[in-house]
Amino acid sequence: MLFNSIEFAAFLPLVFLLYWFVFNRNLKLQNLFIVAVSYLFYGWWDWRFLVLIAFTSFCSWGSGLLIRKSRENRRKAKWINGINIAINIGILGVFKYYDFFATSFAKLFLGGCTDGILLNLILPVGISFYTFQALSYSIDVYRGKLEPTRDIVQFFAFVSFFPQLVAGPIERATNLLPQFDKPRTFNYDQAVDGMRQILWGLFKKIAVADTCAVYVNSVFGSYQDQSGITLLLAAVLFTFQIYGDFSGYSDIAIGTAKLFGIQLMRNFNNPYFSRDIAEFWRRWHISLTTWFRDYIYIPLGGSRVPKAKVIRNTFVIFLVSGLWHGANWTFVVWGAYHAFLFLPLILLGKNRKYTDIVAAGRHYPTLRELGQIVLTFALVVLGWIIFRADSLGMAWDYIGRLFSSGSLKPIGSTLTLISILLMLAVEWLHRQKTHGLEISYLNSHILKYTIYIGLAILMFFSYTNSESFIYFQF
Amino acid sequence: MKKFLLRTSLFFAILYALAWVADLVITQECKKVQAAPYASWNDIYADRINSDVIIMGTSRAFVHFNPAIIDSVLHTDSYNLGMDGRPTDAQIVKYHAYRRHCSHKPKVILYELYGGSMDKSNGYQREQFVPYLKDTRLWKEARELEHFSIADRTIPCWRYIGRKKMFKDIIYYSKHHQDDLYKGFKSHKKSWNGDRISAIKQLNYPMHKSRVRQFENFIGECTKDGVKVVFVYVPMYIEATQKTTDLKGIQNTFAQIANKYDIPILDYTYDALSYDTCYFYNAQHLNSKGANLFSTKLSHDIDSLGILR
Repeated sequence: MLFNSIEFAAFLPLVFLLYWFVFNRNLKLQNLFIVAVSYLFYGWWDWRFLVLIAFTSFCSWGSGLLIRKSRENRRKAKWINGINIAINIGILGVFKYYDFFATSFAKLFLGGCTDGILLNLILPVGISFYTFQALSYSIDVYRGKLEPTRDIVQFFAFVSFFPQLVAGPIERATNLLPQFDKPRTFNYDQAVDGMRQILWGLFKKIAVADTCAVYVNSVFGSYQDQSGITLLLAAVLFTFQIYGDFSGYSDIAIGTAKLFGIQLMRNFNNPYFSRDIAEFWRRWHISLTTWFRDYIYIPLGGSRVPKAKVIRNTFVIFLVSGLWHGANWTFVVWGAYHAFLFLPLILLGKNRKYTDIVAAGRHYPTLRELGQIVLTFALVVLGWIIFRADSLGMAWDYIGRLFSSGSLKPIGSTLTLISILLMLAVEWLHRQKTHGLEISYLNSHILKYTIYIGLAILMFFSYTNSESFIYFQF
Repeated sequence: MKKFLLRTSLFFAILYALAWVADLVITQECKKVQAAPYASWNDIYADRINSDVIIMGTSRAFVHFNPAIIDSVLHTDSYNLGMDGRPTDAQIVKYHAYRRHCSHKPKVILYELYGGSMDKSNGYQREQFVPYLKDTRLWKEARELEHFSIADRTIPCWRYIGRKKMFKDIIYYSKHHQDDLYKGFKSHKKSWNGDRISAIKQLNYPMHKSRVRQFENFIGECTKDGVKVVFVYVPMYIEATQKTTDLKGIQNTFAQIANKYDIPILDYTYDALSYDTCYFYNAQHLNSKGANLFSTKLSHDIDSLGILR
């Protein structure tokens, strides 16, 4: 079920009312209800893969209990944790990466012949998200950071909670699981803020991402026939498309969770206002970046090792992060590209220079800050070309053609530009808030309602045939 | 919770009211448009078609059959219901709407057929159905074809979401001269620009069995209703005809239906017009000069059939 579909518009209020008015008297029942509706939400796409989520959840829940049982025997606990990781990564590997590696192997050693070696499996939506979420639980239990839960319903609710099931934020058991252990009470301010965040997320998805997609798809689909300026514009628009799409989804997910009294972690923090690439990665897809930091980077030694090892660790997490996004060399190279951008910052020891909010307490950035933002943005745009291309060959060709002459293919709708500018302006003004539409500080109800209706009207005119969310494929 | 539900309801009530008013305004404005593809629909729903001769078919009906000439030669009243880019499945939906909303029953249908007539509709100019979705019968028929949802019919303005082309049309035609349509017929005063046909190796048209069955049922329905049908194979530029795969097989299918219901076929596939690019603006469509000549020829042939007497 897509957040921007009529089905979800009917599903959400119904689930909300049942959750607060029917199932609110019993915590267990309320959690069971969450599991049921989350499975319905996921099964709407393909019910067959519910078995996979259930299996992944069961393995991680079971291994948590077994690890707890073997606390005195570290070796046994390590084995159990290892087996659970192997099962989960194995499932992910088979569904997401097997065909990719088999094809690459065939290209190298079998002259490209893939007859009989491909599985051609359908990639289950959101498999990378819920697998990582489930994994974080058993690892945290193994590390002694978390007490395992005996309540299987609670655990299933943690893995399958529908707002963030298919595209994150990838929650940590330490944050989300305890919330299913406590009775939830309805909080008016939290719910209203949730509604605003949903509206803002929908705006970013419908008015920004989907309208950019029309131009981007058309240009990337026939990039050989386009001028350099058109290719550049398409790359910039893709930069806004992927942000509007993914951060829009996260906003809807976080906002929806708030309606149910659940607080999810922040996933985006104005990444395009970053002053260097390190800051960008502290603000982009935060739940994944911190996952890699906590479960791969730090165990490898993090930054408390000699510089050479810090560089190795950085490359490892960026390459894995690239591969996490999809089974294609373009994602791996995209990861490597960002690792290279990181290099000078690591060598100069400046990778944690910008941890504050840009131009905090001021309306405008300084010229230097503006220059840094524009430069970082340009580097990110270049990376997105590699990310968006179908193959590495296409990516190089596309980048090479950026310098070709010719006229600009006009953007079909001026609404696209208006929406992008509006998004940037609002997010700049609210860069110290948790989301773009955090407007509780406004006293005038008329002004607030005007903003809501205004956004709804913009979406009405911008709507294109519903595009699925980009990150579903990951 | 009470406050939250109240405020949320208020927000959606305001939104609903605004959407309701917007729906009303857009629908009214759309009904004023006298340009394709809305004009003939507006004539249907305003019961403005009082014709004995109805022309049906694809864009080849739309731009080839000039009612002004047919009327003058046959001393009758004709109307062109041809649908640009739409095969028979959509044409039948339009005809049904016409029969429900226009009080005058036609005597004859001139049905233009070509290779692509038995294809499936692909959503081209889908917006033409949108203003009339309140018509339950139309919604039921078009729903299957165009994938309209219940929301399109029940939630105000839902059907208009994102229809930029429609809004542009409404705004444009409210300020500018309306399209030069005459009783559903579009005249193109363009000269030959059919270079694309030489780049095409073959023209393959799918003949969907479900569409053939549906068409046959429709012909049966017309016969039962006492409306005579004439099949017309219009002239296309000869290169397009030559490049059509299995033209004989396609025409055989139509001939079988014609035989079953005793329907005359007027075949202009190899008419003299087909060999001269000066009558076409592209390989499949006659320009105004060609359309006028063809309409004259056709009218005389209809006259000689004697079906209007």
